[in-house]
Amino acid sequence: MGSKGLDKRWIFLSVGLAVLVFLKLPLHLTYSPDQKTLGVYKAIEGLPPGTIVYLSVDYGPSSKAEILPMHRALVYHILNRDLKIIAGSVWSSGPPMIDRVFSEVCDELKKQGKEKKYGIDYVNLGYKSGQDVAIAKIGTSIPETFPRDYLGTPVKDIPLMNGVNNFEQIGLLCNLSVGSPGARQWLQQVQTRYKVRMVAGVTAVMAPDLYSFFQSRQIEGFLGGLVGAAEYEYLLKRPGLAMAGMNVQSLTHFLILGFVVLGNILFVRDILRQRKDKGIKTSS
Amino acid sequence: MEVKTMELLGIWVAAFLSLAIFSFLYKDNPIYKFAEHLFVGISAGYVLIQELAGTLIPNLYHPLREAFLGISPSKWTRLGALVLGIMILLRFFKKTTWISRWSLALIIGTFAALRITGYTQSDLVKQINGTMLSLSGKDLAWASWDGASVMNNLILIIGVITVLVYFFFSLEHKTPLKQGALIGTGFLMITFGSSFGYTVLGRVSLLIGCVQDLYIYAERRYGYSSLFCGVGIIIYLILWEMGNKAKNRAEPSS
Repeated sequence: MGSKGLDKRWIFLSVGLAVLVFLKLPLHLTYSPDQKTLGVYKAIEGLPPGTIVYLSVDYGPSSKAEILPMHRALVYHILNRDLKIIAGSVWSSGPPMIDRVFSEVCDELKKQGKEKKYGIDYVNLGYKSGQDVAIAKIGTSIPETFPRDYLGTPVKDIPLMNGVNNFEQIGLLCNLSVGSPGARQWLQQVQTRYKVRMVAGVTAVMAPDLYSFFQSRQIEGFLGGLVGAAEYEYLLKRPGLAMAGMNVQSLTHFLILGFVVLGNILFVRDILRQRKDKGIKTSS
Repeated sequence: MEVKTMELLGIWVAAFLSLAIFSFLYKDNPIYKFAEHLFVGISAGYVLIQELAGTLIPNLYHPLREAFLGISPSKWTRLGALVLGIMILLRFFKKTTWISRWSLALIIGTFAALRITGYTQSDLVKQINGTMLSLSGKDLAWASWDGASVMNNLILIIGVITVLVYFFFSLEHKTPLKQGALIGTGFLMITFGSSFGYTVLGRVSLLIGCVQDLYIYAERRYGYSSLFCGVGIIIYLILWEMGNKAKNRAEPSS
């Protein structure tokens, strides 16, 4: 079998079976959260109770495997610290995700004796189209951009929105995103213009883009992919889907590394064979 | 825990559609096509409703209604947005297509201006500022794995300069520019490698998330939905392949 002769479906099958099997292994890896994850944690920990956090949820079900665990962890952390959340989205698939996480986290907090109320502790403003323009407009005026919440209630009738006009009343901007519009657009249109403190949670594919903004202190920290979410769950001492998933992730990476090594061995073997064949032809 | 009928139905649909999309890994097949078309159709409908309910009704209909009722007369200005929107729709008629260009010009101009100003401030000025790093100082450690240190700052400064040299095409890359560009290439390769690593991480995470969901759907309370759907799809694929083979035998290629 040459390097080009392997049917790629064998690789798909191997990775799929590995994930199925590894998920059932009782593994418990340890984590050492890095500076960027600690940055997010410290930014939220440092806010005094009652501070309003603007949470922009710019993702949909297609990326929920990566973003949902960090979304849950962040909302839990914010509400558990008695901070308030104004959530909105510039992705049409965002509002149902906001509703789902609020509902799950509020149920969890209720079991712990902390009751959180819609309109007082948190609000879902829904979706706004317009990408960069919508983000810039949110920076200018939140109630003008979102005159009504996701349920259709005028924002002037929502207690949490009383006195909230723009980012002067917001303590922290927290963005969860998977593409454009996302963290980069929030940085360009809101963070830089209004000097708002900002943290982010993004997919692994987007994470390398944000390192330079973290290094320049434009964002105080960010969670990159499932590993970022797992580190955050570890910091909160609240194991969830991300920590369970990371065990599998680490083992699957070994399998993929094995395929990379195997592919290279077969590739080198093909080159050596070709050279040998050429040598035989030349000599004959 | 009791599962409601609608929730159960949703779980079965989710399990079937997830596995139907996965069936593409075997090969393109009618079940995958069905799931794909369903996704495209539902997405289009969903986005339309979100645009209506999330933007057009609260940001256009309600303000105009308030203006009409005399509650806030200043909101008559939203008529401008309505007119610009209608102008775009005139694109559908040959004779009036040119009118839509005015609205498009406004959209493009606004986007360009916002992007240029935002990008310049955030990605250029702030990033240049972020590269002006100290290479000495009482509080600055010589080396560290994470965070600021003399060594890390030095690597960052060398990286920025050499990558800029790599993209400097006004002079021929001869010594010392060649050496600088070579080092820059090394930094670029490391960047691409880390990006690829993160991409693998992301794709595997998506698979893990989906498998976690399928495991949950395979529980007794959900009627072993992913198990039944998986077996059903495999049986269908076998029958479909057998049908294709029989068809090929009956109609030999000319």
